[in-house]
Amino acid sequence: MYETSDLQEDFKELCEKEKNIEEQLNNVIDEVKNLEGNLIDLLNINENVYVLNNDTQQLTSILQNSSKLSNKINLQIQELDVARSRVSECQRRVQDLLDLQLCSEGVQNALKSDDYEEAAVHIHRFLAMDQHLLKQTADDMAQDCATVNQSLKLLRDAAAMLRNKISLHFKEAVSVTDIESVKRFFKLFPLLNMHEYGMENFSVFLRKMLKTTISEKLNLIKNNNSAKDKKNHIIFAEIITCLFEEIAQLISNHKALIETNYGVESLMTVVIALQKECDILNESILVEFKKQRDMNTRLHIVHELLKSGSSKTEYIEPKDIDTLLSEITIIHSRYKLYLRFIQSTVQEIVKDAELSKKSNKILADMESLIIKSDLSKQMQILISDYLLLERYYMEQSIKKAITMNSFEKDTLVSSMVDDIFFIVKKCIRRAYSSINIDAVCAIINNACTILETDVCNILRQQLRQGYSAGYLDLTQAYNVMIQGRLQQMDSEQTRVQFLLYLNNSDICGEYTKTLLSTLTDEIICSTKNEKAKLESCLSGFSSVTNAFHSVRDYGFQQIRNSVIKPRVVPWVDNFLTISHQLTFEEFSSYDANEPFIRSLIMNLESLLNEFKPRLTSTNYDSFILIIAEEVIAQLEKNILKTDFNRMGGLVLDKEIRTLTSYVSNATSWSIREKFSRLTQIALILNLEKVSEILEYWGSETCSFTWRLSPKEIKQFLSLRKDFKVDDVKKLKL
Amino acid sequence: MEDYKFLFKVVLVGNAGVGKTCLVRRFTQGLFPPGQGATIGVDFMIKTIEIDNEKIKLQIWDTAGQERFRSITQSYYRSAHALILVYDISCQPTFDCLPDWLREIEEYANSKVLRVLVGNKLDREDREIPTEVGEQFAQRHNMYYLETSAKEAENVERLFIQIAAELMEQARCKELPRYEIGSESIDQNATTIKTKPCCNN
Ligand SMILES: Nc1nc2c(ncn2[C@@H]2O[C@H](COP(=O)(O)OP(=O)(O)OP(=O)(O)O)[C@@H](O)[C@H]2O)c(=O)[nH]1
Ligand SMILES: [Mg+2]
Repeated sequence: MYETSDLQEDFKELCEKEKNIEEQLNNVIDEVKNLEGNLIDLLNINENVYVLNNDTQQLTSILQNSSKLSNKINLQIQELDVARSRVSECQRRVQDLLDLQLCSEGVQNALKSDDYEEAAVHIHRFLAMDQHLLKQTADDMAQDCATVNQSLKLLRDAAAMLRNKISLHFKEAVSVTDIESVKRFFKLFPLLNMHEYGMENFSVFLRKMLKTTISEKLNLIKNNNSAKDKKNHIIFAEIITCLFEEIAQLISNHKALIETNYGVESLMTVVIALQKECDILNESILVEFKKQRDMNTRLHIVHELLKSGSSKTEYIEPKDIDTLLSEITIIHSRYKLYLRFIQSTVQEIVKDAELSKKSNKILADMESLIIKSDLSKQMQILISDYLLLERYYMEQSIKKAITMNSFEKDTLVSSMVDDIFFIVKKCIRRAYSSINIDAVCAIINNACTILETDVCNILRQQLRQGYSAGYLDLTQAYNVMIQGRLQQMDSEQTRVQFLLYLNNSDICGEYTKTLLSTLTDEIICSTKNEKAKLESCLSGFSSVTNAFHSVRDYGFQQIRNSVIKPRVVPWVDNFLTISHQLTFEEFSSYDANEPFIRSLIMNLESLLNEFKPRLTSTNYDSFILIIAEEVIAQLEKNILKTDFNRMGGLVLDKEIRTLTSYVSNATSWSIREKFSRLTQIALILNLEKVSEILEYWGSETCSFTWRLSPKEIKQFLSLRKDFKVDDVKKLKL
Repeated sequence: MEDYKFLFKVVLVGNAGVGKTCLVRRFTQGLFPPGQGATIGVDFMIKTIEIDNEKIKLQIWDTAGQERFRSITQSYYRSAHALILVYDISCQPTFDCLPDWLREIEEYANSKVLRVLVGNKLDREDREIPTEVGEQFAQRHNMYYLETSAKEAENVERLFIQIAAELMEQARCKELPRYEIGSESIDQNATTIKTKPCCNN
């Protein structure tokens, strides 16, 4: 100690010296200033140069001296610092020595009164001391080494004893599941430098708690064999849920305890340990699940049924696996939620652990913890089994819906349409409830396959039977009678059936579109990649829609050939019976009656009226469109077979206008476009003279696009028998 | 609508660990991923390429080889335009499984799907399947054949470009169903313009 006071005195002295020197220095500096003034004078006067030189030299040497001095002072200050830190080191050692004494006494007292907390605090203090140095200090100070050594030994023994005792008590508490005591001793391990031991054994304890809770529940299920009971249809989903919740609770409940006593990274040990127990428990639950739910038999049968459509073993009713499917999706959704919980827990640990090196390791741990865990593998297998069963469920239910197809008298579509889409939606929604986008996508893919192949085929098959016309003209009726095929009842039924399936195809297309937009809204993805995946799979429904449309088009092709053509052609052929080379008088009387177009429209009207109540609105519009196309085509053919004069052209023009407006009014679609060729033909046949065509052809003011080629224009012009053949020929188009 | 003329779905299948993911990453991202794990379910990637001034969008489905993902991966076969069946030339078992894969393809895929057999890991010294053996197998089963290395970027570009070119050729001939994203196709009666037949010889 005297050393310190000495040094402090030295220091004071030095400080004073420094002050003095500083004053001197200031003086010198002042002097320099004066000298500078003098110097200028001297220079100006240009004399006494010698004196100046001398002064300068003197000044330089003064400055050098003062710099040397200040260096010296610096060095001394440094030495002083070293001395000071030594002093505080000394003080700590001495303190340690004193504490050592206190600790060894404290521990003894604490141990006597079984106050482990107090004892552990003392041991902790002791363990924080550098025991080697302690001894040295004792030597240095020539103190009684024996006392120190004795204290050291005593404390070491106490530490060992305490470690033993606490471990023992901890184990005891664990074995009787005395949670409070477990926590009590768990907190003490870090004080005794037993972090790893503490964490390890605490993890074992938590695993045991988890195992006890779950095994108890599982045994209940096992022994009662009650899973078959209807009210227990999700009993396995419940126990799995319980497993995950229990883990979550164990982690949350002990999070703070671990963080404060062991540091945040130690939580990872618990998470990993619980995951291991979770793997084991999950497996034993799933084993029991498979057993009680007859998974293997069912999977085997379904596999065979899906492959060949029949099974030697037996058949499974889709509704018999309905609840099983739901149970699996619940199980899987709970697994997903659990994963999210673990992920966020680990992320929190990483965030709090801060050090980036450590977080990488923690994240890698998590990777192998979660993704490669047995739990994940088991769940992947389960979802795979689910997908197989769900595919079967969907296929079979749809088949059923098709077999049980029925219709009410006044409905446009039959029951299978609603049923099929109900099933598809149900299956996709169920898959979605598993919170597994891959499962949703797979079911969507399967749904597209079934709709595009199975369902489309059924519709097409029905339509292939054709629409037996029933509108027989005399010759047709005669032929049919001769062949003995006239079975009024049957053909009526076929017709109803045909229109029903035509409507079914249309509504299936509509429903598919609706399904696509509903699912697009409903299904929420958590990542961009998942969203892209889902969208791509959903786009499969667009091609399903197209498939339904092409089935419908196929049906309309039949209608066109068996209904529309045979009826429309004779009506339009009436055109030929009417002369289009009219005198003015003939024109007037014709114009008043419009016999051709009126009867055509009347006939069309009755045809439309017959079909309107039996077709969906889209189909009805298509129906009109096809009629229009047929009328237009046949009319054009007939026009080409007819001779015209100006009056005849005028009549035709009026007829076409009437027809166009009639058909346009009948449908909600814009159909005028279809008539543009006819309208242009009428225009040509209605010209005053040949050259008038040039006002329309190649003219800037022409308000429409020509649908006729120059050759066709000439062809139609030449139908006007009042035009000179040469004029038409010479026409340059 | 997006700016492309053709959209093709390409699906990669084959045993676990043969390098499907590496092939796809090499092609779409130009890299050989270090130590990425086994694929879970299916992965999905898109790359747009250009052949003869035509933009072609390739939707690439990278399936998991592990057995337990089969019922997910199978569902992708039917809508595939091309199937790439991959094995590892340095691993006999992956070659021995090819018949199983073909059975699977037979069961689920469109019968007209373009099928390509790929022997990957060409860079490896310890080859177990000679080129001719792979070639013969492909020939016997009516498949194209190519050996690749995702690691050394050998033949990877070529693999996908050739598939795209072939599909484009087919599409021009047969009017493959095209998936037009976003097109509502309200106009069902729009006449389809038939392309001139170019391969009926
Ligand atoms: N030498 C060599 N190794 C390769 C090549 N391609 C892939 N590998 C290695 O093979 C291993 C498996 O590659 P992946 O691409 O993950 O295999 P995968 O077929 O996608 O496997 P799953 O996703 O499980 O079906 C990795 O370790 C790659 O580094 C290659 O061309 N050469
Ligand atoms: Mg992969």
